[in-house]
Amino acid sequence: MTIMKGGTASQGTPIGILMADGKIARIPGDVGNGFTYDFPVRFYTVKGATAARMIETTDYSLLEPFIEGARYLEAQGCQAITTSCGFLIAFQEQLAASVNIPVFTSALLQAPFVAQILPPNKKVGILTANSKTLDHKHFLGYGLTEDRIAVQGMEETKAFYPAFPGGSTSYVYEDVEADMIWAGRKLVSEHPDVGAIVCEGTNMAPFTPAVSRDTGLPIFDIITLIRLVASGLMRGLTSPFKNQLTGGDTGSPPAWGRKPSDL
Amino acid sequence: MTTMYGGTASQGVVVGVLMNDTKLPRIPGDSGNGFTYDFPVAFYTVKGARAPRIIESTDYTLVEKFVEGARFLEAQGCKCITSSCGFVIAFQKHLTEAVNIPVITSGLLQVPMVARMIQPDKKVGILTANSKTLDPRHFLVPGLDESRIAIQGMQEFPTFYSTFPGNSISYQYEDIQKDMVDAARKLLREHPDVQAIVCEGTNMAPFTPLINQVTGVPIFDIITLIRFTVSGLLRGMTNPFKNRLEYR
Repeated sequence: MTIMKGGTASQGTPIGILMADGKIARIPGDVGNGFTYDFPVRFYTVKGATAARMIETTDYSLLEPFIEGARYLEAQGCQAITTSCGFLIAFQEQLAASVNIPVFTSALLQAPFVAQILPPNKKVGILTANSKTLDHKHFLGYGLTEDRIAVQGMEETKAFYPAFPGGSTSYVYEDVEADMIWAGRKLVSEHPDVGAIVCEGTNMAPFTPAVSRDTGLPIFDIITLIRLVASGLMRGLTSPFKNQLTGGDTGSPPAWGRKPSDL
Repeated sequence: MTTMYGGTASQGVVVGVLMNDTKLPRIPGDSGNGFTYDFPVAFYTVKGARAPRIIESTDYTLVEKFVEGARFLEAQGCKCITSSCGFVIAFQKHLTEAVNIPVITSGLLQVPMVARMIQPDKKVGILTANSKTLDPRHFLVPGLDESRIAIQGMQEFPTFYSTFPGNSISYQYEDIQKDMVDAARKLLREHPDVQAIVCEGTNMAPFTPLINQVTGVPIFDIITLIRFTVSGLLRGMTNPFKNRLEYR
């Protein structure tokens, strides 16, 4: 006898994504495009969450609509929550405290881990939409110190910055790719001791494979982080004998959201 | 014109695994079985690395042998180094200093990241081969203290303990499965505030899918860590438009 448990209106959408309120192009590979994922996700647009209020400054009055969105996604059956903008690491603690499921606001959460696995004389390179406004205090700590990071911003780029923080509804793919390659090269030429790169920007993800090939460095972005969290959330959907998602061939149905107290 | 670079004797072996010097069963799903991976790996056995010197105590004279192995694997073209025993986290610093590639000694390296993702008043549960000898100082970092973790050891479960740290050459699958599920249930019963589990033991990985199914709690182990690290190492081999490795 196998009991099938419900508990939320819809089910089977492990990752909930809090989207900025914009109309920029989010191509496959971007956190805000459904085709990026090989598992189901759910999007929620946070009203008023514009680049000006998240990237150019941190507007803490946005916290309330973000918490509302996180709670909505939790109630809809999501098992973890992420966001469409790496600068939202500023809200990490508040969002994590507001729901009962894991929250990972930004790819920058990977930076302390990456520092720990690199040779101690190497740095974590960080590519961010805007290095002038990124407050390091949000991702330093947990063993990561200022001397282990090197930051390169995109604020001077002619294609990337207008396309994403600028809020344009279209961009020329090759131009943005060229900006990303330029930023990766500048980062490693100015800091030859960079051992791996962490990308803050979620719009950077479609271009990180090219940057990784060009620099020869490992790159961690919001997509590698989402995959890590999803692999832990859905460990029960993997075959114990094969390190791949299999859609649950292990004979027993998954216990979506079952609470420890049910044991 | 495209220049193809060499530089090492063999290439295309992404992960180098420093194996303990044992003969215990390492079934598919264990970090010491080649079929566990969907990318190529290389194994290297560290002579003399046995449970009494790693799990029951930390014998720092082993560092030299581990460093030798890590350098060998690096020279063979591996892009990162991992180990077959979560207690090797004691050597994390020594090994990162010894080679020029990333080193992930233990599933426990995920603990700080997981702790930051869950509610600040909730705990990370840890399943380890031996909670009596595991020194939390190896994986705690500034900002993460012992109040955020809850540890359950397998030394209370004779079948598991005599098989893995005990270095038996065979085991009954169902018995180990039962020990693992019982241990996870005990952890969650005694610490209802555990919101995610991290497994120290590499031999636990074949059983974590079942624990996830019966508890519903997210579970991170050496395999989720290796996959994560490899996804960053091989980011250039993924299709930018699709969130998957593409070389298969």
